[in-house]
Amino acid sequence: MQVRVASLAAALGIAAAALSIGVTPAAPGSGAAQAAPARAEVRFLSNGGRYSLAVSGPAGGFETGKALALDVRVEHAAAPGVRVDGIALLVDADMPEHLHGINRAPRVERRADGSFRVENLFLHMPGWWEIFLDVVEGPWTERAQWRVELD
Amino acid sequence: MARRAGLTRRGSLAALLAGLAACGGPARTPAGAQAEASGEPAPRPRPSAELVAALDEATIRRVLRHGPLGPPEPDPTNRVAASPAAAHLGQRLFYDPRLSLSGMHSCASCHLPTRAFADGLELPVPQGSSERHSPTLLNVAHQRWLFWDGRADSLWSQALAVIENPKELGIGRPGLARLVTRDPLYRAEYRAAFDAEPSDAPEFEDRTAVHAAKAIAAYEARLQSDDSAFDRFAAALAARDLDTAAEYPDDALRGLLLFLGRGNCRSCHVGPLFSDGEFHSIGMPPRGGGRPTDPGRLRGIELLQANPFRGTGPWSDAPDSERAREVEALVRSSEHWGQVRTPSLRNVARTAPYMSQGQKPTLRSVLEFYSTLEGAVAAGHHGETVLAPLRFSAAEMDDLEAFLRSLDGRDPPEELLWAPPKPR
Repeated sequence: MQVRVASLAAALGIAAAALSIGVTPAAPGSGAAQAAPARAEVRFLSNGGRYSLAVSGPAGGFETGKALALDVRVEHAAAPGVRVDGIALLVDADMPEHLHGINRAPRVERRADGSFRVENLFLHMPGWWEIFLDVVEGPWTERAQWRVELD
Repeated sequence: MARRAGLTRRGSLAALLAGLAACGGPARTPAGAQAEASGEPAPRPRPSAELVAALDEATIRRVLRHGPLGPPEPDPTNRVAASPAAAHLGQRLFYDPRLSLSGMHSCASCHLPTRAFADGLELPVPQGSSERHSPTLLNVAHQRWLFWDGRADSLWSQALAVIENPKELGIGRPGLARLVTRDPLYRAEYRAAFDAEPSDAPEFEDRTAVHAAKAIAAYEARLQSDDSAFDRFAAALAARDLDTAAEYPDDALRGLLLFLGRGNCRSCHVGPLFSDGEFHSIGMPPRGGGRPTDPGRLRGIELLQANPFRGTGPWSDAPDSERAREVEALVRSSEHWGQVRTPSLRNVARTAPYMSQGQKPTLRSVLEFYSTLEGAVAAGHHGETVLAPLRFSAAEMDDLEAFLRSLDGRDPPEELLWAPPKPR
């Protein structure tokens, strides 16, 4: 199953390899990207295909050595647009080529509308990062991951 | 090839330079290549505007991420960080040997203005055996974490730790408070800086000592060293001033492109300080050989989060600031074992020896280590594995050295290089 991407994957620094998890680009300028021009949004499936995640970040892309903020909405993959309630979100990141992760723990706050605000995501080196968004729903934990290349 | 970045001249060596940026190999002029073919000694490639004009936009963007240096971010945890009166008091304290138990050592004993505010020693020995090399204080206000293991999150907290440590200065907070309170000149300068009286009474000595340390930090924050040849090159590139950019030596430019390209040095040495400000293990063997014994960042985080003089502590002037709260978010795991802070490369040619224990005496020896990784020790199961022998040629190492020398900046103003004169 494939999910339509809101837009601007490139602006968020998403490498082509990340799109292979079932995400395809859509026409730019839709959805949240229009409502908040300083942000760019992407959508992708969790690795097991259970959830669809809409993630918006800075439109200019990720910047090395700067604390980053993301907004995350988790929806049922089988019912796009339907929010998943009663979940927790864990956020982490790793540099596979370096075998190390991040040095600061991101803050994750659940909002009243069920979406999540992620702050202090600090990617301190240029290169290939994998960002992990783990959705915890009752007995299930399913990972969504997202490749970014920082220059 | 990447689109040009609006430079005013077009170079005929664009393809050659694009390859250089990608693989870091040395550039050879056509004339040089012909000379080599004919058996004559190859002339050193000369600076040329064409060399600069051939830089593609992506390379220019990478260059500009490293300079010019600019001012440091303000430290909200020190309300007098930008105060001239506090800096004046701090400067006097910095050069005062009464800060040491022996009465013979000051901050300037390990951070000599004549040695780019380092000491030129492998390990300093003011009061006993120190375990780590003295880094330069030039541009230190740009550092997010202080000490090789980052166990201080501000300049004032770092200064206090040295004054507390019996292996370093060692007079402690009571001694510092006593000195500032009982010396009439210090007392007057303290009053001017803090609009308060110093006191060495037990209930006030911490406050007085912290203020004094914040004054030292205000002085150290002025030890800015910029305007290097690289900074001038970067500024010229930013302004698309090709003629000025072409004044950058061509061997330094080749070294820079190798640094940004095949050498991938910018993986850690990135940003205006040529440091990511974070912590890594490069497998450098410890002094005396054997396995690493310095826990580095693993212990540094523990010490920092327990330090009452951290940014979120009661002595901070902005404990709720975003900057201060970064301490609470630090992740501590076994992968931090042995990691030390990425040193800035600014003024690196003036601050030998190198590495956290001064293991490498020269720039060349550092480059040779990266070239071969000879003697490298494993960083541990979760350690970084990104390093691989870079196999630099001798010419490439020459170019890298030339580039590193181009990071030598201008010294701070002369009036900052010694204790202020005492008023008559």
